[in-house]
Amino acid sequence: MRNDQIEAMSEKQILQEILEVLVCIDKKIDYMVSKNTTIPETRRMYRNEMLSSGLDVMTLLSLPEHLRTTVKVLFEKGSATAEDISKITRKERAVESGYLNQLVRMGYVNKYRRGRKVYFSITDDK
Amino acid sequence: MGVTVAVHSSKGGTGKTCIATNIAALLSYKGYNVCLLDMDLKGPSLSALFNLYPKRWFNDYLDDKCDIENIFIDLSPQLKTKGRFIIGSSNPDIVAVRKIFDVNRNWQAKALKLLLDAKKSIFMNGTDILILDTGAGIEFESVNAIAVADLVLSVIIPNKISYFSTEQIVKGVYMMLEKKCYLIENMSSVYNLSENKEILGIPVIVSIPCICDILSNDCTNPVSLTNPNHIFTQSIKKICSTIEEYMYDK
Repeated sequence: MRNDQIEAMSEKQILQEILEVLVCIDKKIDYMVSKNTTIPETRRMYRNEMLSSGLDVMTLLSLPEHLRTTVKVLFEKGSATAEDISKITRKERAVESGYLNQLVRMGYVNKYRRGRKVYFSITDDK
Repeated sequence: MGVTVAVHSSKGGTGKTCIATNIAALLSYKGYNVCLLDMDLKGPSLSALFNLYPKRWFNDYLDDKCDIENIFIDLSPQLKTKGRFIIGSSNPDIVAVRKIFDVNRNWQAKALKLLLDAKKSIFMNGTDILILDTGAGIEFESVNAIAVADLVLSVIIPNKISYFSTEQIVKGVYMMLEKKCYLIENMSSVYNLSENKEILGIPVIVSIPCICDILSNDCTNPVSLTNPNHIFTQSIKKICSTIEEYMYDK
């Protein structure tokens, strides 16, 4: 459904639309559980590939705005500390540190220590 | 560091390559060192346009087979430009094009990093302006180019489909990546060089009329160099001025 179609709907209509989608998902899950369906091999491979990949531009676009800003700066700098990034984004160092660690957990960013400082860089899949 | 300009459009056939080559030629004629890079890996044009057969293609760089400096051909002596005018071409061979359709997200992620490295290297070697001639729409290659650009020039043609799809890309890509962008209205029914105009809230640099002799030109010698008084050249000059203003404000 397009954004302009959603904007033209009332709150009740949107909730009704969401409810219908949830009911549909619920039915599909019930069906898969009853049939003991497993994920096809090709799809599993694709999912593993997604998880092991570096950060591509389409994934970058799908990130929430705060993480996208952090990643964009990290792309430009190559590797950086949370403090380096906070100077550019003008956010608190602790805030950027939180975002970077979230990106590390998501598998998009590497974290390493050089001397007393902790550096971050985009995960390299080479 | 210099400025990176991506010439993009939501649909094919809007005149991106023609505009990108003429901008690059005119800026190098004015004395800037310009690098024009063919980022349309699924539909390369520059090698055919300029009859170029380089030993190494941009594809080779993305496959880690060579350095970025190895792919460029210097057209300055041929076009007699004051500044250096180098071109990096993508491989138009069908096998190379098919291979791009087969690459996975890992390759595209690596391509984005390599593109950032290439950009640094190109500017370190004295380039003032890097122009990325992208493919149309939302493909990995074109969005990678937009991601590394400072300025996006989006070419639209005056019809409902072009406006609608451009709006989607403005909201879903340019704004998401916080890019400074301008529109170039090509094949327009009007010639608008001076009036300030906005479409979709984005400033339009110029409306270029539909000109048949541009389409039939072989482009080996860009019109902007061979015919300085042509309406098309006047439009290209206006676009170049906008890029120069951006450079000085940066």
